[in-house]
Amino acid sequence: MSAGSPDPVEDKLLWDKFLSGDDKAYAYFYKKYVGDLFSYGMRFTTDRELIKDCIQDVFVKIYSNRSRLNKTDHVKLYLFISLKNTLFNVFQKDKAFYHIDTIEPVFSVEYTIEDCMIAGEMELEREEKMRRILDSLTPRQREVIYYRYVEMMDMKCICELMDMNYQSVQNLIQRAIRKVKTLSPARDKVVLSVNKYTVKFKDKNN
Amino acid sequence: MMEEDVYKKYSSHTIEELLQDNRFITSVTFPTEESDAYWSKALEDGTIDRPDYELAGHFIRSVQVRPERIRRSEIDNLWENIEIANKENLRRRKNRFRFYFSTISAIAVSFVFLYLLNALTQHEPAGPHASGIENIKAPNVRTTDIQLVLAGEETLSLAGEEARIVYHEEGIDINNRETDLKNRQPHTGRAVFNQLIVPPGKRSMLTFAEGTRLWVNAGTRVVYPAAFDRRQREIYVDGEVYLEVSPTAACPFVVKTDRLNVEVLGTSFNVMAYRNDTVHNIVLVSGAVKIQPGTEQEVTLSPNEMYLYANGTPEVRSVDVENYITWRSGAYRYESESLDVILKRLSRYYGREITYSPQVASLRCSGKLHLKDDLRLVLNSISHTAPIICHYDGERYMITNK
Repeated sequence: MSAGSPDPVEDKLLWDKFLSGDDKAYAYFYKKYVGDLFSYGMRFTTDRELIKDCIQDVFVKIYSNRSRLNKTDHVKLYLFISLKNTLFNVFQKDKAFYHIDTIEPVFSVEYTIEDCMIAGEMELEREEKMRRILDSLTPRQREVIYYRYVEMMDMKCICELMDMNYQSVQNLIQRAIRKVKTLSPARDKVVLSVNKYTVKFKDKNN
Repeated sequence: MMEEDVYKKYSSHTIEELLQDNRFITSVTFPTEESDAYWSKALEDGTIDRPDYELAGHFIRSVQVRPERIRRSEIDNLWENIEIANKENLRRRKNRFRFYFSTISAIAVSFVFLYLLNALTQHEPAGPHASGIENIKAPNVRTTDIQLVLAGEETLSLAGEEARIVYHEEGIDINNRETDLKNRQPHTGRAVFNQLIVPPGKRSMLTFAEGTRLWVNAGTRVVYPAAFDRRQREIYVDGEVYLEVSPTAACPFVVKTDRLNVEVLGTSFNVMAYRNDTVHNIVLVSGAVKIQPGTEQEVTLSPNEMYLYANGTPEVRSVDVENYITWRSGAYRYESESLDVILKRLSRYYGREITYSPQVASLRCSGKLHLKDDLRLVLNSISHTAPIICHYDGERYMITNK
């Protein structure tokens, strides 16, 4: 539900409307992004109610501050950042309730490795390797991968969301990709495994 | 083989390039005919190495996470809470000089909602926990003010459309102000009760010391002990109440009505029960409640189910819960509801008499009514959809067929 391409033009227009007091535009943003925000928040905790409370805080705050809010052409990013900040504030206050040994909440994901249609030994081995690689990612790498490949954000957004400069984000991604590259099949074995592999995806897509 | 040829031409940079390419990322997650064509062409004419292409795609598919989905009912409830909080903020801004406590607590409570209209028929109070709460009499005073009856039989009249009453360990705050009222604890072991009486046309919000909150709709009486028992929290409701019950381990919350008991098995819920209505029902949004309807069998409701009692037979059916809980945010929503039910509720909500013929009563309407509007406007808006005409003689509303 990481609602594909958020329509930036429409968002921008409606955001302006919201800033000038349009309640319908406000409700529109809630409806459009509550699902994504919830999924995103749940990456930091398992406490559904906490995430709902934080989402409520985010929306109540933008409503009461709307005369002071800035224009934005990326509403989704704005909401994501607000949710993250709200959530981190709670964590900061209630450290005891969450991760005792880390100040920041840990970004965690359970990847849905394609476990269907694994036919042969070769695929099985490959899946196993992929799983190991994903398991070896650091929380920061996971976070950046989530933004880039699940939420499909561009680098500029990710930098803002992670409050990091371009090069640092780039480094995070590259380190993850480098791990993936090790999965690239050895040259001499390629032909056979690739053929099987191709079949597998064709099956899946049909 | 094709793959082999292709393979030799390309460096291992391709995976990285693909994984940094916006177009590629979007194509994997949201493939279109156009994108498929684009990539097959790139593969065929050899600009991209197939194994790398596959691996890059495989990686993106592998890192997709199973999203934690928010449920439909959660979205709706959350929206309602947001609207309530926004309204509250606007009101506060208007009354900025007033002293008030508490921001929204960040720690969560989960919600069970429940809605209930009580039957006209009077039954012996049911249930295993007879404490006599249902036998507490309403004070014999006729007033259009909201009344708070304290344990010592002291009765307070509260002016205004809405009252906010907050019990805490030490005493009671009213409309965000501290009072010198003491909430008397029972010393004798015999329970003492308080009452909140909200006349037609008014509403209130009541918070108990343990954290449970009640929104009390028009024409409702709530009876509750000055302090809850350790083993069981019990209140009596004649009317409509929305509850957020504060979860307390091993201490169930029971709402008694004239006709039945509702026991909260989850953490929170919402109740409505009018003694004088012929149909009653309980609607559960989330969590679980157990209903003990006196003589009939006990029923446990699941979310999105309604326990309906009409014409003497109980029945459980699936409903859109939203229609039953919007009143809290100042709206009634109906789906094919008879005007009889709608007008009765409006009359109660606004505290005005509305008369109508049986033909009008049997008409059915759907839609949302905004209760912030003047009653006349609300009735007019109904007359735009239903074939009725509305008259007002300065005292009561009369509705006739067109």
